[in-house]
Amino acid sequence: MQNSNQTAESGVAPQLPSLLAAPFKLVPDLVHTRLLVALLNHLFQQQLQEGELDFLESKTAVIHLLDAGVQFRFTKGREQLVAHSGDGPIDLIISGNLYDFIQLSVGEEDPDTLFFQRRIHLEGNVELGLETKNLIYGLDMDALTIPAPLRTALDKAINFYRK
Amino acid sequence: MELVCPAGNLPSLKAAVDNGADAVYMGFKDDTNARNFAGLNFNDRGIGQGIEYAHKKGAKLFVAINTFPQPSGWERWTQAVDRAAESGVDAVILADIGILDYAANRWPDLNLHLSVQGSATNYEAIRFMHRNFGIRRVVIPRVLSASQVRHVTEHSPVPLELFGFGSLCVMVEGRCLLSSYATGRSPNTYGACSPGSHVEWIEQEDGGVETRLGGILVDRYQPTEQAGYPTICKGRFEVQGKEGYAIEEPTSLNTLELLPEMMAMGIGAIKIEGRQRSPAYVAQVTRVWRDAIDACSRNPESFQVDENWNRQLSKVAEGAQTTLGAYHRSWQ
Repeated sequence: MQNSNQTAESGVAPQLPSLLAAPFKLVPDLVHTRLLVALLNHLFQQQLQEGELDFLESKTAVIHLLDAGVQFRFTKGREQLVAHSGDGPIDLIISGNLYDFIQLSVGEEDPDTLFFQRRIHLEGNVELGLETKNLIYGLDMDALTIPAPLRTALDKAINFYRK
Repeated sequence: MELVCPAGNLPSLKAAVDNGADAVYMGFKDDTNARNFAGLNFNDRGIGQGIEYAHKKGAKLFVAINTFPQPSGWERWTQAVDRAAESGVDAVILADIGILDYAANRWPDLNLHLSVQGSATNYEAIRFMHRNFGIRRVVIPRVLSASQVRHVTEHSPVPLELFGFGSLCVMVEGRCLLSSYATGRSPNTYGACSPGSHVEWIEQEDGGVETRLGGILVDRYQPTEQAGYPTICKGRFEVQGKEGYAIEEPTSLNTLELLPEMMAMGIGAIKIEGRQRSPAYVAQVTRVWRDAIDACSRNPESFQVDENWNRQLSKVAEGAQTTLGAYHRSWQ
């Protein structure tokens, strides 16, 4: 996979200073991924029950943070998402810099915009990518009960990176 | 003038309503609508929640059932009309004559809008649809110039809805076969142009990216170039020895500067494209258009497009450039 921190013609893509992205590298990828899937399984409880994540079954998706040098590799097990430690074939890779993923996660940027600007890259099974994107943006955060400590941690992280 | 905004999911619907949409349009999770993309659109539970939210805040909800049923799928389309009518939506947006006829007879009180896919570009076509099916609004294809729109408006028995902002295609709505040529699936029947299952993005060694649709090379972007949707109409091809955009460039329609003219004509509604986009896009675009319509209503004489509005719209536009499309064609 190409490590391409390219800039779009419209201007220089914003990026976090490498020191901010660096701490991610100190922890093994599998640990990150286990945290991530725990969070995703919590957020997508209802969708998991209704089978809306079944399209990820026996498929391996990878989220690659280029500047942080971190990869989250996961799949859907029998009941929920699980971290994937094996090598095996990859069906979908979504890659980009940490800053852009944070912008996406707090709803400040639109994924197609970042894709047009070449700040987010999508490789592999494009339909899987579209379905993943639409699933994430279909999540109604207002209707979720996120445990208070988790909510506080999320808010803190978002504020930290916004500064 | 009503502001009609897109929603591919509940958060987008809320974003539209919260940022000032007068109406929101959406579709069911199947091929009965022209944005049939994986993971997008509403099931019955979602529609119920959407209606509740929109109505509580004084906004309307429209359902697009705007593809053309094939012989084997007729009931899926009539059931979609029934589901929409029973759930209490404010209008359905239809394209197929058979479905228009079914809806007009089965649900005589239901508001019917003629979809852009119905491709009515002259007032005789609109009169026919009005006389036979009682349509109450028509969405005008993006092929007419402003003076042609004015002519249609003056003779149309129903209000017109015009596209104000969003990705442009070749605009032969309801009649385009380019996606079918490459994938066997078209927006008209399957409900998706360039479906993801037939798209490949292939990263290149030099940092560029190559995009293919149904195996056909559509474009090769240099590392610093903006990308667009992987459609044939926006591809770069070699024609008679010259390489370039043979059909059209990736671009978005932006008609903010025409607002006073549209209002003076008595246009009934402005439509924003983009049910496939995220809640962030819907929120940003809806907010800009709400502010612009309000400013223009207050004082159409001195209305000026705020540069900030254009900047925000250009940022989310495909190709990061905008055009007035056919509206500015003075020769038409």
